[in-house]
Amino acid sequence: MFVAIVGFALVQLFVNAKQGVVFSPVYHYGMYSGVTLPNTQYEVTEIVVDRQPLQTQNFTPAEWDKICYTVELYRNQQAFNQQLWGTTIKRLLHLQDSTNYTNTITGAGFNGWYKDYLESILHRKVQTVDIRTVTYSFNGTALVKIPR
Amino acid sequence: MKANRRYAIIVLYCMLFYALLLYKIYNGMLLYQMQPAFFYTRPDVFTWLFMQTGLHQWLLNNAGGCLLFDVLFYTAPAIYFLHYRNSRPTAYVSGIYMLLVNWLYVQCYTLYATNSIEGHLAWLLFPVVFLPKKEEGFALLLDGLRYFFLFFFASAGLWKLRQGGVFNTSEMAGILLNQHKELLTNSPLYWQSRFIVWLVQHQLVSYMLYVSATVMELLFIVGFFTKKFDKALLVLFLVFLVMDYLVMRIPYFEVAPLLLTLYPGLGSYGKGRFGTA
Repeated sequence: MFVAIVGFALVQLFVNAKQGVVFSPVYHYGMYSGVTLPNTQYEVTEIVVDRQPLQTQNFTPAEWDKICYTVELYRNQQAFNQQLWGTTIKRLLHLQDSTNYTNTITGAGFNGWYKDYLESILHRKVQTVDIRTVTYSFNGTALVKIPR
Repeated sequence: MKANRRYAIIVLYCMLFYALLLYKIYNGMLLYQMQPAFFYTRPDVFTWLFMQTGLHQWLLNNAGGCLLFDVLFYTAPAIYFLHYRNSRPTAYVSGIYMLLVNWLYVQCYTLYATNSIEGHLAWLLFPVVFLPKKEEGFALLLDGLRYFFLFFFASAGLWKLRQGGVFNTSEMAGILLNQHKELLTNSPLYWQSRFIVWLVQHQLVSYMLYVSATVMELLFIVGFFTKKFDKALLVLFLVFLVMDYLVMRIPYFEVAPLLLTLYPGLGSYGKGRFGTA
C-alpha cells in the first residue's frame, strides 16, 4: 500500500513536470497561474430570452455557469474535440473511429436543446432565445460596448 | 457501536456528501436536471480509455440513464455507511462498489458542461480510504490522502510562481475582468459588479488578494513537515472556498471532503478525539 502511495506521488510529480496531457486521477493545478493582463477588448456572450437579456445577478454562480459556459463550450467543442482526436487520441490509442470522441449535435439540435435547458433553469416557458457575441472595452470605470 | 475515528470519518463524509447533494439539487446540477446533449473531451489518457465504453454517449439526451446514474451515485455512501454499521468485516465490498460508481459517475459528469474533473477529485479519491479491512490500512490511506490534499494546494501556489502570475501586478485585475465580463456588462449596478470594478480600479488591492491566495496555498507545504498546524490549514481552506465563491463566483465546494483529512483527531493516526476502535 505504501508503495502504491509513493507510486501515485511519483506519477503526480511527473505529470506536473511534463504538463499537457494528464492521467486521472493525476492532474496539475495551474489554473490562474499564468500571466493575465487586462485586455483592451472583451468578447461577451449575451443571452436574450423573449427579448429580455438574462442578467447574471439573478442567478447563482452555478446556474450562471450552466447558462453561459454551456454556450461557450458548445461553440468550442467541435473544433477542440476534433483537434484532440486528430492530433493525439487517434495516434496514441491506435483508433480509427472517432464516434466516442466527437459530437454529432447540429446547430439546430443545440438550439432546440438549449431552449428546453433554459426553461428548466428559468422555470417558465421560453418562446425565443437569441445568443449574441458583443465586443466591449474597459474604459477605467466600466465595460462599454464597442459600436460595430 | 463504539465510535471510532473511521466511523466518524464515514459519518462526516456522508454529511458533506448529502449537504452537497442539496446544493446541487438547488442549483439544478444533477445529471437528471442537466440532461446533457454534448460532451467536451479533455486531455486525459484515462478518460480517453474510459470513453471507449460509450457510456458518456449513452447518457446524452437520455433522461432515464441520467436518473439511474444519479441514483447509483447518491445512494452509494448511504449503502456503505449502513454496511459498515452492520458488518464491518465485509464493508469493503460496499467500499469497492462506491469507488467504482464514483469513477463512472465523475468521469461522465465532468465531460459535460461546467463540471471540471479537478473540482470533483474528492469523490474519485476518498472512497479508496474505505477499502482496507484493517484500521492500520485505513489510517495509512487517510494520511496519504492528507498528503495529496497538501500537494493539491501547495502545487497551485508553486504554479503561480513558476508561470509568473504572482509577479504581475495587474494579474488579478486581468483575471477579474475576464472572469466577470458578463456580470459587469449585464448587471453593472449589482453590488458584486461594483465590488469587482473597485478591485480592478485598485490594482494594488486586487494584486494583494492574489498574492495572499498564493501565500495561503504555499503555506500548505508546512503540512508536509508537521501536523501541528492542520487546524489552521483547515481554516485557511474554508476561507479559500468562501473567497473563491465571493470574489471569483467559483463554487469549488465539491473538494470539501478533503478537509476531513485535516480535522484534528480525525486526519492524524493515533488516539484522537474519537479514540480507537
